[in-house]
Amino acid sequence: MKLIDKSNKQFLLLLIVLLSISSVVIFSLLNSYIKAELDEKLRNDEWRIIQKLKLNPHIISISPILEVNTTSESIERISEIKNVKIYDFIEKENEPYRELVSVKKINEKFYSIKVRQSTIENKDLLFAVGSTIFTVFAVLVVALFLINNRLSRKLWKPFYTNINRLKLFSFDENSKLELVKSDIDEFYQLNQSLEVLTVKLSKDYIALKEFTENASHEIQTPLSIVLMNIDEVLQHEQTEDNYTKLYSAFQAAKRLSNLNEKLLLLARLENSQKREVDRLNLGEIIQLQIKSLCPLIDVKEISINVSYSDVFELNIDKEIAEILIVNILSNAIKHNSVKGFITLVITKNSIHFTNSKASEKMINEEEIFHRFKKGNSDSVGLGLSIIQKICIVSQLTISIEQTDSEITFILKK
Amino acid sequence: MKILIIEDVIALQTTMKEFFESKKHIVFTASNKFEAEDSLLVNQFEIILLDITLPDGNGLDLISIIKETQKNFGILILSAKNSIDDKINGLDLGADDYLTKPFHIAELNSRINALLRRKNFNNQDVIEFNEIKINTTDQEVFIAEINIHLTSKEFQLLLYLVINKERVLTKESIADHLLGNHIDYIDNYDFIYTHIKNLRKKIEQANGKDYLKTIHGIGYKYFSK
Repeated sequence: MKLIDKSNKQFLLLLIVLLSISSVVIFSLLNSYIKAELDEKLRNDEWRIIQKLKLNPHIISISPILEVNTTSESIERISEIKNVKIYDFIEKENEPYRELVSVKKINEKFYSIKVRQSTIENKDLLFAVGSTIFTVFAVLVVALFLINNRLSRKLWKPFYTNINRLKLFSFDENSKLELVKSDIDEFYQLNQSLEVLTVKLSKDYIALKEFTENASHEIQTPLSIVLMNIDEVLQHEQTEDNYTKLYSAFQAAKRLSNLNEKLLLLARLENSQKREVDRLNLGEIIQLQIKSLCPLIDVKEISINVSYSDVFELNIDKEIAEILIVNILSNAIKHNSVKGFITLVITKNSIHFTNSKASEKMINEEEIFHRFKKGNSDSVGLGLSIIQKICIVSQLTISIEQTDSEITFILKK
Repeated sequence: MKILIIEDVIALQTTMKEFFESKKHIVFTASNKFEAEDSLLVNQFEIILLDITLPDGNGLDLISIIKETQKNFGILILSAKNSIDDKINGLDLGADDYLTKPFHIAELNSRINALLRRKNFNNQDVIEFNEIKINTTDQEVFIAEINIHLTSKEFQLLLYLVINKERVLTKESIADHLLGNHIDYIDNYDFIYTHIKNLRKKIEQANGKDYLKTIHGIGYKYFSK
């Protein structure tokens, strides 16, 4: 729910409560004013009748407004006002009247005086007040809606623009977060805080990346010493037991070194500045890499078939392109069955790498590109992360389609 | 042959020095740019192994000094920084090859041999080993004058074995040499066994001797006799 809708909702609720209270107040006030006014009028009428009777004792009656009669009562009664209902022949229903009744002695005669005034029925008054209030309410809602719409378009515009910029902002690119300036205090403060925060986060992020890269570099040298020295010791005749121990130490160090090298490559891809790149035909690189991987393809007796419908050209560093292709291909070999197949379809804007699967297990597309997700323990599980990272820095996309028996990696411009 | 090793990590420097001395080369060492300049001013080297990260600066700066002071030389850059930029810079400046740490000594040896052949210092593109003759230009192999046909990977393997004869070559070293090491994958090393089997068969058919021995599940060694 938008902030403006939320505040509108609160405002409307408040409005409903306020308007209901005010209807009650208006109703009772109106009611009492009308009553007071009526009573005053009735008293005036009574006074006028008394004056009239003094001069002219002729009795006038206009029912139900006015009834003057001589009476047998012999005591004056002060005027008394009350509500009565009187049947109206025209409207054919009981109508409410305010009635003044008194007995007056005029010229030694006693008269009973009844003056009435038709009043508005309570329900009619209520209806009048209610409909007025409702009209006001409706007008307010419409006005509010129109004003808020305009406001949210105008006042909130910099806010929404900034939200979109934040969504697109990435620490990976060396870009600074540029926010739209606003003279609204709240937005200004938000912008300030965001700018401070992103600058700090950017710095931390870069420091972390550099640390990773430096740490990996520092690790390579001692690993080189370990590997080279074990290699030299292996040159001399050893007992069977020592050979086994030395070789497993060598393998572990080699594995560590491979892992570190891949991490270094990932860090480098993340940190690398944009360099001038060549326009390369990926098809040629694929041919070369297939040739260099042929020992692995042959030993699994995998048949490989490449079809070209066009040339897939890309501005990319040659070495990066080779790493991309070798990783996709070696992944297709690794997760292939013996006597399986690899099919490549190269078009102008996409390359499909399809291979038969080693098992029918479906691969989770979300997880597959995560670091250290791996099918078997012999690889370091970074190949697909490297593929994905290269795709990101080279403005390519990679996606997966799969069935029970085959999986396709689709590389697209 | 004279080799200059410019490397600040003494443990690596010593291992390389001992290896090349065992191959009857004359080895000079330098642990920083300053020592390297001294050595370059008074000696002529055929091969210079150059580490990029030196305590007193970037090793790449030495390339211009090498060019000024040396006549026939090959420069092989050794770097822990597997940085594409460094590699391209190094090769642009005039280095001949680039090897990323950690590397196998056998791989270094093989690269230096290739470098020497490319530079053609002694007009030698044929490597002879007992009855085996390997022509590296035409990629041809003769066993006692019989030409045997090898696939390019088999040729690469045989050359690697012969150049690193009398040395235990781990399966890892052979795999890295044949495949390069960009691969996050070696399922198993069966492919090495397959290639070795095919190579042996072809040499055997030409009545060549089998010099190759398996070493305790570690790898292979090519014996001279």
